[in-house]
Amino acid sequence: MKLLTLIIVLILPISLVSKEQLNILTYDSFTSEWGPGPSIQKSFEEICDCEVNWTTAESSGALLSRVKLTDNKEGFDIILGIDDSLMSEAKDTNLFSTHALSSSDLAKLNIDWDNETFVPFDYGYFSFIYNSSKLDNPPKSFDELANRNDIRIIIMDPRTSTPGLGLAKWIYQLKGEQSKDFWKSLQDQIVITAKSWSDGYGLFLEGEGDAVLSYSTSPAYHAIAESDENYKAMLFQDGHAEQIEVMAILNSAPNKKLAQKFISFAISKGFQDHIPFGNWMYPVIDGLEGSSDFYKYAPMPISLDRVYASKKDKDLWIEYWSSSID
Amino acid sequence: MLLRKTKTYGSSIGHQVLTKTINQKLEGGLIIKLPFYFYIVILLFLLTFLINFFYETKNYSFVFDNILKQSIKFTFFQAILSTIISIILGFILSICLYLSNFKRKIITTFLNFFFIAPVLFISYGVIFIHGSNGLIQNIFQFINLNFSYTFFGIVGIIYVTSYFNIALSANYFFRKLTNIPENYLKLMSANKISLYIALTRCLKPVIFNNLSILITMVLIFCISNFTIIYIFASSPLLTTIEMAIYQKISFEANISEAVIYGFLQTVIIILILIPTLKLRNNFQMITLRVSENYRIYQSNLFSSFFLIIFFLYFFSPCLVVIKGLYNFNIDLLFSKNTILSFLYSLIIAFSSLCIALMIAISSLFMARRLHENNSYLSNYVILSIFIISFVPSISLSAILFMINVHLNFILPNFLIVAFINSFLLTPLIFLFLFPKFMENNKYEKLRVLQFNISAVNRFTRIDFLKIKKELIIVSSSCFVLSMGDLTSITLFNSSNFKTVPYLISQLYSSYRYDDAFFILAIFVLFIVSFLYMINSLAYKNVKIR
Repeated sequence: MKLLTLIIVLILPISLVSKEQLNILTYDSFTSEWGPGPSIQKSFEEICDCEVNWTTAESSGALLSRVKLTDNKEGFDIILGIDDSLMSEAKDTNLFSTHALSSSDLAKLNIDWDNETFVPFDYGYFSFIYNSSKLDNPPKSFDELANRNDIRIIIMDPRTSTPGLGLAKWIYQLKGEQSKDFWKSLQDQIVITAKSWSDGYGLFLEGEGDAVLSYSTSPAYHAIAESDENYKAMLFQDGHAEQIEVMAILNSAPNKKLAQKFISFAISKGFQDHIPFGNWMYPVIDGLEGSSDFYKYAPMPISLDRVYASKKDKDLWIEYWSSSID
Repeated sequence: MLLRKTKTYGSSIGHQVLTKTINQKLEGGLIIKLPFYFYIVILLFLLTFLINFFYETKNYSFVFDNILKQSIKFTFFQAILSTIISIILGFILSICLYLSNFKRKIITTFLNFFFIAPVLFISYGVIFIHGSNGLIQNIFQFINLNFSYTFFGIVGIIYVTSYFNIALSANYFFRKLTNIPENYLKLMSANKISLYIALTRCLKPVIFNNLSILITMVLIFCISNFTIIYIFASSPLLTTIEMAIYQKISFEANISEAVIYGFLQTVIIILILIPTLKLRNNFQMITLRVSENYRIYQSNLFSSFFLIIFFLYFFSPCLVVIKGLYNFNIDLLFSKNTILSFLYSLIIAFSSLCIALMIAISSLFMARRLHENNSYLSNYVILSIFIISFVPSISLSAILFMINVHLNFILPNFLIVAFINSFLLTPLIFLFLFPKFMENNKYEKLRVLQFNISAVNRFTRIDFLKIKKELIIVSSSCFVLSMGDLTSITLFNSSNFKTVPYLISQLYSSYRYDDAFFILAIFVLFIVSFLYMINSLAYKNVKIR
């Protein structure tokens, strides 16, 4: 009995002072020392009197897979970093609950948004990046790119990479049922189909291609972080496909109240300030201090209509791509 | 002929008495056998879990489509081709090294390093030399030679996959050559037997015995070249089963299909290798002194020429370390993240090495005991050790991940990673210690029975001393190999648990390529220093000519 009392006396103060925990599952570059994660964590912990714990998966696709496989038995409160092309599939899992943001909260965003489950935290446009010191006459449209035999491009496999899938979506948005033919006309330019964005981009920097599939915001990193203004995005007149990164609260979240608080925080300055120079994507709110430099090097391209893809759509895009390969 | 002579050793003692003693069965040694039994229990547990998983998962589908067919074809095509190249070139390299004047310590250190060098390091090293903007193409441009080539695709895959496995094979054959007993060499020297005749006739059974185990290991490593495929597969058609599994797990959350793919790969490997997995022992003579310091053959023009080619092949990718050090970043080096990553890598490496050593040594003991007792089960011991390495490590990670889900995450992530790594290291340790462990076993058995030496005493006083040097070397290699693994950590990392390769991949996916190369260079320098230190320790009491 004495022992039990002693244990209670020892444990009680610890439990009284222990902070609430918020468990977030995200992709690895988000929480790296150079990503926005650590600064966002610091800002949020200052106002929530809680502790943020990050767990990472290697990519956006892997995030959804992980909670699907485990049925969120790992006890995550929030999943952060799902690509908009996975939203429909994610919704079908019934693993996510609705957020508590009001329509007036969502109206403050600089993109149209009315989804009840997913909340956007950044966005970008797929684009081909090139080195202007080596390529002085970049193509102005996709068709021109397909006809330029002097340009070697690096793309990503749509089965294993979100930007790869984004390219398949982009081509489908522009070419529709002619996508297969267009993919065939692009085959001569494709020198490498990398398995992931980071590998493809790394090979581009090593000189293996003249252009690489990435985001229109990538040049901002080179210009601001490396003081190299040579990297530019090809801006196509026919428009660019959009990618929106979203977060959502899990149905089985152990701390839903705190998760709701984080979701509200995600569309505030405290979170968004770290997006342009941490995640190198466009923030979802305007008027952030110092972001003019970012927009200078990452000008907004012409945007194509937003598409919320179903699994069937994705399979179709991938089918157009895979059937064009010899 | 030489072997036959040594096998007549028994006649001088009294053949009948000897045969009677030899046929007695050895017993005891339960404590040494325990880790092996523990390993078998884990294997059975995994099997039971899988059977139960498929029994419970009613709605799984399996489509044997063209993509899967293509993956199977390409997996085995590239792996078999790389295995053949690696073993042939590894054998040639081992002879060149054996004939050279380089110190054994230096040779083994570098062969170990080339085998365990981080795949990312060598891959980017090869691109640094052979890439479109690489050293060679820049030289071509400088001398106005209009010639360009690409290393992406099947050429790059075979080139880089063979890199590690040539080193492994060369190391294996080199050890065999330097372990030829001195009395053998003296006999050959007295009979003026040329190197060619020695290799093709006299030494053939010694050098090529248990070659199947080497083939098995090399084939497994060639099949598990996930990172190489990831970097060099320029076309979606160049996809392996492991890549398909990765896609199923990471992007489709389809664990059942991923496990079926893994099972398929395992079955194919077993079908290819099972006829060859047989335990043989051709070192039946009493080895008085091994020949590492005794030489009768000298290098010639051909061996020197090949050695230069191999030297260029192995060392040229290492030039990328200069690129890494050029981007020196002291803040990054001493950041909390980097220090923690190094710390966790060391913990993982140490834990997995301990587990692997216990299982490997225990299974060596079991295999020898059964072999000495003329039991056919000895070959099944080998199969059980190798079978887990036939399973793609990404599938194994997924299975253990699912087991942990069912156990409500009772197992700490670092322990799972350590276990997965140890399963892949165990066959490697087994392979390298096997020749030494089996050396003189018939003679030893005789003495053990005559003097009633206990199993523990035989292990600690005879076996351990016999394998000590090999043990130190293979342990250091496995330690480094485990430090550099990037397969399971991708599933089991958290913000508090990451390793150096994972840190490099984080840097890589955050546009920090220069920093990634810098950490990679530091990591490689650490590995080289570590290996050199360990090898110095291993050869401390050996006089080198």
